[in-house]
Amino acid sequence: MQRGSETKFRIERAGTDEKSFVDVFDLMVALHKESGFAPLKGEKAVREVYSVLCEGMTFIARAKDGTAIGVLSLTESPFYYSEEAFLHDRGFYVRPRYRCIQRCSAGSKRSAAVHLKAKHHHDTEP
Amino acid sequence: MTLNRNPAYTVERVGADEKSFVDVFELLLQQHEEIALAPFDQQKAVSQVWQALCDGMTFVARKDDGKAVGTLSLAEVEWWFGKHTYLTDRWFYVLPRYRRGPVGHLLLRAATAEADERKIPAFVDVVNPNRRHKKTSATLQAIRAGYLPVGYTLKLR
Repeated sequence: MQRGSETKFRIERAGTDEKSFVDVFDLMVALHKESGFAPLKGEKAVREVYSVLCEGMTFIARAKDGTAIGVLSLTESPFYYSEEAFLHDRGFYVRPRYRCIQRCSAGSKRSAAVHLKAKHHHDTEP
Repeated sequence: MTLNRNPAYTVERVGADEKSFVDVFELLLQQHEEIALAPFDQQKAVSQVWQALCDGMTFVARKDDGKAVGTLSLAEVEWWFGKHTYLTDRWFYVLPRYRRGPVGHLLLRAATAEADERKIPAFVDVVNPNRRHKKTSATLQAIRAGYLPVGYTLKLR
């Protein structure tokens, strides 16, 4: 499923297919490389990423040519003091060269991060 | 066990006893009254707080008269990408009139000591939706995109 964006990027909800997995995993490995605090164990990371995809709330930002440039994955958890739940991120990453929202002008040049955030907001509104 | 001493406040690690439970639970009720995002389920909250006390990484800050004025509880969890672990807060709360003083700092120092002892990183979220936002670059960017930051994360170790 594709979601609207302006002209440079599009957001899609990732499924549990191989392409989605590979794209998300690549981005998460890049996230780990940039800010990981401990060694990456392939088997566990694969299992976790796949489990997140199965929850159906992972969004991928793609450039015009289809390259995956950002990911935001959500999961639902209960409050410790309540049976009610909230959504929080399992992973939020945008490749460094697409983070320039300060340098970009408004409109069509907004960064992937802004689009991802906007998507998150839209999807969690009642 | 007293971990830190300040002329006016002490921070102690609390265990699974009745007094500790009552002190912590009262503080968390006040936190809920202040910043709750969902209704309070007493049975669940009691069970969760008791479990946290049993885990042995809950700290309470007290005034010199013994009154509990703040609490910080930690949990050890695995990274999603590996078997290594880190500490994260279950809660961090200081009564409003004791903020902007040493209480929060003493609790964070106790958490840092715990992380040092375990030789793992520790992260604590400082969350207060009612706080006036600091004008940092990240805050301004988030606001511009239509989102209100509710706090920030501290890396203690």
